[in-house]
Amino acid sequence: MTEIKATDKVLEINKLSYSYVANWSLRKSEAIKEISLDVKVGEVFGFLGHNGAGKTTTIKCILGLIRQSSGTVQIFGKSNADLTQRSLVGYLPEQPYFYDYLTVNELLEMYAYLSGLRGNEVKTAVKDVLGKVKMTNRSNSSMRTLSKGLTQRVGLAQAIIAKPKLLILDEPFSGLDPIGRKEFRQIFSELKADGTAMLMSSHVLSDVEFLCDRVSIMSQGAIKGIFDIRDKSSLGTGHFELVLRNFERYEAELSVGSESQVIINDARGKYLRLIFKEQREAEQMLTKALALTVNIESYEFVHGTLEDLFIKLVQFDEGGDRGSASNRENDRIQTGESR
Amino acid sequence: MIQIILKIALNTYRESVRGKVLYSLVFFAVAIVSLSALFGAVTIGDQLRIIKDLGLMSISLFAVALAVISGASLLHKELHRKTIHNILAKPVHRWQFLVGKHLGLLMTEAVMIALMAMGLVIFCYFFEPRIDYLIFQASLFIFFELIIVTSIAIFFSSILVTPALSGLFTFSLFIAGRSVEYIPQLIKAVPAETPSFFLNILYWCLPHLDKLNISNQVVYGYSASPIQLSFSLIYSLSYAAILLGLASITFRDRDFN
Repeated sequence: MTEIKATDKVLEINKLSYSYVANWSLRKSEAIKEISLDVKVGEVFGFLGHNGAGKTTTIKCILGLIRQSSGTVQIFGKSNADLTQRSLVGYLPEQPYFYDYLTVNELLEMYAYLSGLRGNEVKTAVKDVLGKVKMTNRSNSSMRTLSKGLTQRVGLAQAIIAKPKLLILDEPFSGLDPIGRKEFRQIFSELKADGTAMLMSSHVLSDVEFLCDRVSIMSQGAIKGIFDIRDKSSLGTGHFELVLRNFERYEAELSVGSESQVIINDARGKYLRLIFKEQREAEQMLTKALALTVNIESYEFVHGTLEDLFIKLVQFDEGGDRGSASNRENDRIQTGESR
Repeated sequence: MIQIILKIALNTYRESVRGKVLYSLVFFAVAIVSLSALFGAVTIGDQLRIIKDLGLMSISLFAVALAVISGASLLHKELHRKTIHNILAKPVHRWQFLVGKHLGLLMTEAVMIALMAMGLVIFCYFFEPRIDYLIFQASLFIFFELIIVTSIAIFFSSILVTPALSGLFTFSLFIAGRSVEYIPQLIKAVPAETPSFFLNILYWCLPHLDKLNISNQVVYGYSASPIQLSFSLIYSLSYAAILLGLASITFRDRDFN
């Protein structure tokens, strides 16, 4: 068994590329373009990207289900072609399928065996993992009788049955109801606390923000940036928000210089919310508002969110509404530090 | 290593025997074997011999049909439903997967042949009140034949994407294997040097399934000698091992998208 140090990288991908030849045109298409990332011991790494960005293809390369065109993948310091490290890896595919006529017990026993467990270890592991995914009462059910959510639970059970040190999760929350999602989050939190590293591909950004330490954002087969999401500043520059009350008389005057203005009407009255990119501009407006005896409801700095960052990077890559040269340069400056 | 193969084999067997397709095949096979036997029973002449002959032929045909259908569609189903992804993400070699699947299918086929053979023995019992063990021996040789046919099906399904094509090629090779005894006669009949060279290669490469068919011998009451039995078993296993080896080589570099 490989000894793993706390500083070790459990997964290291270096300039990984994968290309395939389209059936009819015989044209080579690059699904992944020289991506590099690493996952450290005990770290939860979010692997984000739009549909078709290349996340699942990358995961398949890591697991050797498809052969990379170039680059290297190392799992616990050894090439991904070396199967000896695979017993330390668990994999939950997106929308997993299993054998229809096997029972949950039989299926999990098989995966336990394939993961390297033997004898009594198998029975104990199956029992434990069924309890963990709350499927003990369905252990003798045939797989074909299970709903999508329950199949997803079996999928997770087979992935964690041998207590892997690296868990690769492809859309783990897919097909789960809110309770299932909460339970899965709880299981992942426990695994994280036990030191299991995870590479998690997901579209549910709130779950990613809750669980992950770092994220990479992938678009069109390339990684656009890797961000430490515990450090809020890495998610973007954020903005300054000033909310004013009793502003009506000075509305035109107060609207000058802000990035955006929104008038909010609620039960307590009417508010003007002003957004500023620069602190200096926000403070100038604050001084002005004070001088005009407008009521200051709040003034704060709001951090950027993962969603803002994701949309910005993916839209930028697709040539969307952030296409101008100056904006592109600004985006590079804002995200460049975290790369 | 062996435990992994056996576990894959056991679950392939479980999955196959519980599938509805197999039940309908077994039902149909038992019905046809009984009908063949019944047809033999109403013919004039040596009734029992005809019953056994038709019965064994039906067992062989149905067992081969099962081998071709399940073997050819096996990998396609695994790839289509992506069940193979979970298996190969574990420390499992691709050749172990193929050998396990082959073994699992053979277990299913063995059960099916045993059931049909038992049916035929019971039917024959009504005409001659004794258990004809030679029917079991002939069924064992049918099983040897299936070891090869199943490996052919797995070989083709490891290189071809369409199960229909894999099935067609497997069945063609089965027919060729059953007719391989005619090749030497063809070589004698062909005067030119070059075609006979190729025919010789074909003769040695094709599976000698004709040698594994002892039904004619059995219906006349002659049992297979221990040498014939051992040779047939070794030949079947060796041929299947070569084919599975080739399948593993092609399967090793296959991308599972």
